[in-house]
Amino acid sequence: MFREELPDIRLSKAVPQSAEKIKHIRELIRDYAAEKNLVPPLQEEEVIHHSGILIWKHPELFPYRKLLAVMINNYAWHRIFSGIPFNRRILLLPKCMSHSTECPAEYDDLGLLCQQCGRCDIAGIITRADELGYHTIVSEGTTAVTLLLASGKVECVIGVGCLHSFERSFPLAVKEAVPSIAIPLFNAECKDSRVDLDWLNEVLSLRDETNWQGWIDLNLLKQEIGNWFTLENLHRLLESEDATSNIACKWMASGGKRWRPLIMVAVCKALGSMTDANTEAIMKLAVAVECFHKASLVHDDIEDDDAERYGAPALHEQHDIPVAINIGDLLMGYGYQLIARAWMKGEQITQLLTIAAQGHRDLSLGQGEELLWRRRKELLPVQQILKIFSNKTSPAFEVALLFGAVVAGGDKALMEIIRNYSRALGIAYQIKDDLEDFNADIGSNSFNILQPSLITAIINERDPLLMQDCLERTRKGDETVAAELSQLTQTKEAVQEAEKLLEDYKQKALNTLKELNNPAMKILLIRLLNKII
Amino acid sequence: MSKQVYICGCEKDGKIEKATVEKLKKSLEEKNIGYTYIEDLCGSVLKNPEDLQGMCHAEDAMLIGCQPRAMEKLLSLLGDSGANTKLTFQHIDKADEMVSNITAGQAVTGDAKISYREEWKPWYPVIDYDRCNGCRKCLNFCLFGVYAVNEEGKVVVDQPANCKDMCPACARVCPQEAIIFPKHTDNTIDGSDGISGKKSGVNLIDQIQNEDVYSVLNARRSNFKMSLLKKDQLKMAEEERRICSCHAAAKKVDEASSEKNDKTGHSCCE
Repeated sequence: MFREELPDIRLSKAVPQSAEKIKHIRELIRDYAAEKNLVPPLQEEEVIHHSGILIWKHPELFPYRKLLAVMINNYAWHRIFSGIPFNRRILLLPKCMSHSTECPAEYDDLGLLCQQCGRCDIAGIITRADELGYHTIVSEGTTAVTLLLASGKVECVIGVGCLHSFERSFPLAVKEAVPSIAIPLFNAECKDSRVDLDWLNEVLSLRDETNWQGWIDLNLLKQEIGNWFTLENLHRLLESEDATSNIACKWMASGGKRWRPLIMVAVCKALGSMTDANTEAIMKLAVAVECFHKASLVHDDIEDDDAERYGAPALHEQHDIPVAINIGDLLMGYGYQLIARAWMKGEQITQLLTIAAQGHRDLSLGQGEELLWRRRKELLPVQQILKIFSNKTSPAFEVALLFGAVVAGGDKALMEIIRNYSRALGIAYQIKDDLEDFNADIGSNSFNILQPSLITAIINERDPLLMQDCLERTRKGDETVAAELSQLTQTKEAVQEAEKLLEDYKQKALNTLKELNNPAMKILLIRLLNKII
Repeated sequence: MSKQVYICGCEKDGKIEKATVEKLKKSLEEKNIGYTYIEDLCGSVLKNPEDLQGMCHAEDAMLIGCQPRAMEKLLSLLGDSGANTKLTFQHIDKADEMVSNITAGQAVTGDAKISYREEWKPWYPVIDYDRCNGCRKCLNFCLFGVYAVNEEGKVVVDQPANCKDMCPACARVCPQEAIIFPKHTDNTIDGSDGISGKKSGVNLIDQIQNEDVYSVLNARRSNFKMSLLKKDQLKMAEEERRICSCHAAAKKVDEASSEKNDKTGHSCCE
């Protein structure tokens, strides 16, 4: 309740009070950043690593380590930021810069509506920003900032604020990979705050002759790709009109998120290799990727005895099992036909075929492991489950990403990064799926202990006797096991452990991107990770 | 039965005018009604709640100060030892008529005082649980850890002293307008009863999430510029009207003019 009890947060959150000193530090970091060739977005630990090096070189900067982190991040974005047109940038000012007692402004949902009375610096800043074409928001607190960043639709942000607020919004900016420059306030009193106007003005006017093309509007792209999957277009691409093909095309056209085609095309765009001339070829490859995916779903639903897909009857329910199996086979054939007709160069065709074939292989190996496991009705160790997860889901992402990279003529290093990224992403995706299924089933007491589940594997690892008992009772037809499991602390702990694993694999996926030197691709893969999981 | 009168002076950077308090005190004294003066209710609630026990458990008492809802919710922070239902609340601007209804001799308390001597200005939020729906926006919003969740899962003001002086931002974020800053001057944030209505109508927060951010911000900017323009026009119109009516009045006096002239006087404003 008392102020004295507050830890002294000022220590690491200090900002030098003179503009000259700030300028000096900025120049120091500019030179450092130029030397290191920082590729944004930087992960938090990378930023900390760089500020550590700087402090080691200049111990007197120790009190300003948070400020250093902010500046390092700024310089990492510097080049891309300069390539973004003014009218795609959003300037976020904090309300605390306004006059604390005499500000006449009113507020709407997004913040203060400046009346340009001139009692504080805001009016001048807004006038300058307006002239350039910026969109300005004077926000109270961080809600508007958070929502803007999380919307995934903002291309660029300049944020003025205290170091506290940056600590809040930094993780979000990293998560959404939004090019952003942060300018800290001199003071953190939340009242009559001031900013280094020279610095702000310099940043506001940063603009070079090039246009940064790396930002991809995923929502728009999704719509465009959706149009590739109309019945008409599918018939055109697959070049057939018979009854069996009709079923296949209808199945392709119905439902699904089209993640894989979206991923593939987004990679082509990020790597700057999509032109009007090759759009048709890219379309064929994207539809091929979806053919493979849809084929595996048909077979999967039969193998898993799932009666529903996309909230409607599964294909083998709409028709029958033999028809469905055959449609799966047909789609596989169509997929390879599309690859052949995309008219890629010889080397690229070899690469595409290798990637597609490896994808089928790994997928079937993962599914096979699971099917055999189910037959044995035993519990698997956690590592084994993770391997199944990896085999079952990673290929789908990997094939889509690699197809995009092949079209763009990506090098070996890029392919390797994509493989590692896909592996971690696939596992994370399956853990999330597993957790959601488990929570839904255990809530309704319909959890089947005989299904492969990471949660039961974790419980088994910690308390084998308990799981053995549950397993035997289930085999004997005891139906109270699920309800009992849901109440156990072991279960809650296992869920927590699984959640931690999910975070670990997400982080692993992010870590694979550290070596990636193409910022557009790096931004895309970070955004995809957060969209998919 | 005698009514005990309490007055909060909101002394720590408060918004209650000293003159208003003095006037009230004087009129009570003139009527020979005793009262207890609380220097700063917000301060006492947090730092010396025991001083308020007499008031909270009085048989019949009235507390005069800022917004009644603000004072009521403030005292509910004291929990079980807080106000019983016999305490009524009165806004100081409306105290005159209430006081006139109390006759001399009804009040028995002497000219006592409940002090608040701390340096710290007691600026902190008070949650109105009649409105709060537990959405936790304030909890996620505040950078300084003022809010916390208690064992029952309820959001509570856990570290009031962490609150930044004059920052009412969490109250603006609250979709229920359930957060009161008794020392604030804006409608509804100060605990006045109404709902500001700002939350209804076009919801920009929804818009920026669902529509093209840039066009939403463009529209917002031009709407605001338009409203400023309208405001200016209105101001000019009013100014002109004022000048015109002065002219008209002057004409009336000087020339003792006819109705016809008066009409021409107004016509310039139309």
